[in-house]
Amino acid sequence: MHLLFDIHSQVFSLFFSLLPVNFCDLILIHITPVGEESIITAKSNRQISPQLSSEVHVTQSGRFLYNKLMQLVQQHYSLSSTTVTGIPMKEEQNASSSANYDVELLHSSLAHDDLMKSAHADGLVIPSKEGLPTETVTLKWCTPKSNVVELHYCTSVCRITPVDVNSRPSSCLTNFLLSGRAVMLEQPRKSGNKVISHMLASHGGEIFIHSINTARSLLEDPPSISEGCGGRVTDYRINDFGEFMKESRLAPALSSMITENSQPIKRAQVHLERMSRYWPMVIGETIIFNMASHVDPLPNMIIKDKLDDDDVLECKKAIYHVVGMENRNEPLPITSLGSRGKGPKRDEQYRQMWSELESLIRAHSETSPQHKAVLDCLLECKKPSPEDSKSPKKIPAKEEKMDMDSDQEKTWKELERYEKMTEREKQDMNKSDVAPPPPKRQKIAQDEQLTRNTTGSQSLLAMWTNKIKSVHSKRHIEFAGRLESEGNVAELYQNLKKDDIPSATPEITPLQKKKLN
Amino acid sequence: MPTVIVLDVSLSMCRPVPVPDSTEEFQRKNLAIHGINSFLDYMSLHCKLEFTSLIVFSYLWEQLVTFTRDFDSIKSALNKVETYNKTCIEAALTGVSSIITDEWNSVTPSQVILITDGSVGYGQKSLKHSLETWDQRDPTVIEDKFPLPFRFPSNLHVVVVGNPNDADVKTAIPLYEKLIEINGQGGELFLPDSNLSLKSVQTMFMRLAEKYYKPYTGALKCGHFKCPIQLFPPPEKYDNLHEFDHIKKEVSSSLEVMGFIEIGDAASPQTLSRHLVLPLPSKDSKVSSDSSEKKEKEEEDETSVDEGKTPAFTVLLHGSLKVEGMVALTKLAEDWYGILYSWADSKKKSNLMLSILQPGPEPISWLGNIHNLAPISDFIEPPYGEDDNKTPFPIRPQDKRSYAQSCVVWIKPMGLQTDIQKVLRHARKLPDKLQQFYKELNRLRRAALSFGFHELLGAMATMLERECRMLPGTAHPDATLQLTHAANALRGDKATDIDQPVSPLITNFQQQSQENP
Repeated sequence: MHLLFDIHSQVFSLFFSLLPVNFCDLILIHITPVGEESIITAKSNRQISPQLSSEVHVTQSGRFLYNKLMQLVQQHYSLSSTTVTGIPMKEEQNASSSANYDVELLHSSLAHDDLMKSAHADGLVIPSKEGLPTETVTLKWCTPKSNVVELHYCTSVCRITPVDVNSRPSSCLTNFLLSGRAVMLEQPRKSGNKVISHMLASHGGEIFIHSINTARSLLEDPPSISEGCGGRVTDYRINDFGEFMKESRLAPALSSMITENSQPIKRAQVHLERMSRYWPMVIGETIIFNMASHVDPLPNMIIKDKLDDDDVLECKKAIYHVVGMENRNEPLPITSLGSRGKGPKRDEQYRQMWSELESLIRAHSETSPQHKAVLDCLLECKKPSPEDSKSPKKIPAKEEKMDMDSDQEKTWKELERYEKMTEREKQDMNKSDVAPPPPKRQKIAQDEQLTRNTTGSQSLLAMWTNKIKSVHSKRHIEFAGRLESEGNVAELYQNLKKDDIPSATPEITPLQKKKLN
Repeated sequence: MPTVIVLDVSLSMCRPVPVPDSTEEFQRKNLAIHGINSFLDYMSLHCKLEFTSLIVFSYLWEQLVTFTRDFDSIKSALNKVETYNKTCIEAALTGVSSIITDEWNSVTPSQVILITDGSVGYGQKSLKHSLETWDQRDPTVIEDKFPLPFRFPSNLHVVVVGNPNDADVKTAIPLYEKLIEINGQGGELFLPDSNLSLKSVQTMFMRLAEKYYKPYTGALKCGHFKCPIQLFPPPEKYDNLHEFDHIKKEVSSSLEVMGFIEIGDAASPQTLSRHLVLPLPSKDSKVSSDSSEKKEKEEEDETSVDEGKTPAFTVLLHGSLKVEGMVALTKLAEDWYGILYSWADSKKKSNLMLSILQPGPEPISWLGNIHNLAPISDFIEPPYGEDDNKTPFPIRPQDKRSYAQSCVVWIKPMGLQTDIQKVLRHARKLPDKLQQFYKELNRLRRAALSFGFHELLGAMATMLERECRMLPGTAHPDATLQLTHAANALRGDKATDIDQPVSPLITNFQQQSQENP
């Protein structure tokens, strides 16, 4: 044995990848035929050298050898035994009646840690029913009542194996578990109170024993989430976030998806980052996500990491649809939270909506040239925000990036950034020779240009705008302002620019006046 | 972590303490109570949800206040503390051990704060005597067992209300250190920095509180969502010896959601500990620039008035996890994960809960390696099915367990008998059970040959012949033919050739029965 050690150490010194043997426990089992006395006596464990200890076991062959091996296996792998008692099983001969059976299982001792250390062990430990020279803990079978999926607080989860692997009672139990049902196990306490301390369940064809925590919980009488920060807010976008979660579920990567330089889980983080770039948490803070029927499929498209030309077209359509809504002065789905009377005026609402839409698209504009194209389209369609309407009472749309210090401060920063952004943007626009303000006019101009080109998507675009125009012309007498203005487009609410005090009563816009006439 | 305050109320605690510039006379006990009160004040500010109990001891011990979150009840109990005779620390520790095990089982990490004055008692029950004999007790006498090390994970702190320069304190210090060492799980000896005074004792207690009762604060992130949070109870450091390496880990201050899975797929995994995730008001005002100072003041006022109305990500996440029945897989540190889910106690107050899993890349075996989980958007074929009707979990291991396949086990006579009976049962139902009969017969034969149990073949042949003789007159003629054929095959030349299974005898009857089933 010492020689073996020496050889191993030499080999180890040659190949560092081998695990060094620090200690060896040599066990000799002397087997005699059944009924024959052994002339060798068993020796208990003794230390031969600092690295080596040895013991001698003597056993008769057959069943006795099996018991001896089971005993040693339990010792060496620190296994414990649980006997599930009172398992109701149908008799093969007489299917209408059922008898109760016991099945003994082996598993890591971890599963009993809690149970053995606590004083309740009284009366639970009995000699092995399978005739092993060891002890077993009896736990009572509880017939499962429902299939409700619950998350139990499990202090340990260990694989099991029945002691008598394929006996009828054992296979009856294992087949039941492998079919996907879980069984709770109860401690038959002398006091009579019911304590469920373990659960048997299979996961992927393996059976486990779960130890359920039975101690008093540190978390008893916890505060409710509604008592904490953010607990009083009632209009969280719970269902929308549910969709968010479903789209961010995880699944084991196929072998073809695992590459050396990136772990799939990192991709999951990238996915979450992209999904959450612009995501208002409450209904009251967003307009565009409350008008899904109007802006769809833009919000779902824009977060993709690749857009094809059709997707871009779909997004553009959505934008044009909103342009159409604005031109028709359709109401937006604003939820005026608790505010009595009138919410912000409709043009203000549209401005919020546009800036929100811009935040969403801008957050993704760097992803690809296609994303950028959607942003460009939006910037062309969007009305400029009147510079002189910077009344602090007006709430600009919020960008829910969540990394600001607080909501309010974020709002202010957002406002600043937003304004900076639009100015810069305007400068850019002024510099560029194609697009002089106002952008509305520019859009039409571009549209006309596009119509002249003959690629498929552009002609469809032109058709769309034409359609909108024709619909409009049927609906109302042409607005005098538009007839007078250049490019067939009049800027509405010009007086807002001149007069920055918002009036309490909604003004009748020139358009409405016309209609009244 | 539940805390037990163990206060020495022996006579020696009544020794007066000279306090300069004070007309009032203080006893050591008064100082200790003052220290405990300031400790409790710290607790009620930072660890509202901790459970604390008060034990007083002299020669005997008494639990004055059972585990409670009502710190005032401990304070008022302290006011009524009486004085008894001599100090016996071993008795007190025995008391602590029993009340913690009774209440919290032996899995809940606890803190024990022993408050004494440096006098260690005399004679048989003195600390000196206890420590001289602690490892020589008779293990059969349970009452006589030394209470340390505690059977539950614990920190043992010894707080000395005595002048560090006093002779009795100096002799007692090594004994206290020995106590902490025997417990071997952490904890510290606390001495006043200077001579005894209200101030120095208070500072000493605060040192203890700030070091061992530091609340966990951090941030929960999910893509761009971010929310400051507190975890209760604070997560413990992980420091354990694994099979091949020593793993030390600490939960980082930023918890990051990686993705989501269904509760049923998570299936009650093994959990190290559970923690409530409580959102904190976002107040990082110090960092912000001067320009927004005024606004910030407004904001602060607002949050203090009603911080419940500022949306918090944890509340949104909790709501959606609850509705969808999902858990969020969350990264706690490098290679350490946890799951977030909605949890409700019996009173139906639900809150967001974090379960900390075993460190390592594979904390839940049926989910596989966490690094290999990919976002579902990466898959061409949706892993959850088109209508969410399937799940990619659990991952099935390559090999089947012995209990999941029908291997032959003949350890006990019963196993062999059952298998033989199965063959005979089919034999009696020939020719209907023709296929099953030969299948079982070959299974038995194969096993017998594999085990070298050749005697069984002959015995089986005899049994089949007997069955043949016992057949009733109404039996099908084919049954006789098949039984004779099988019996001969078991005795024939090729009986011991494992590659030659016994195949059914082709008879005219079979063709008939095949034609008219």
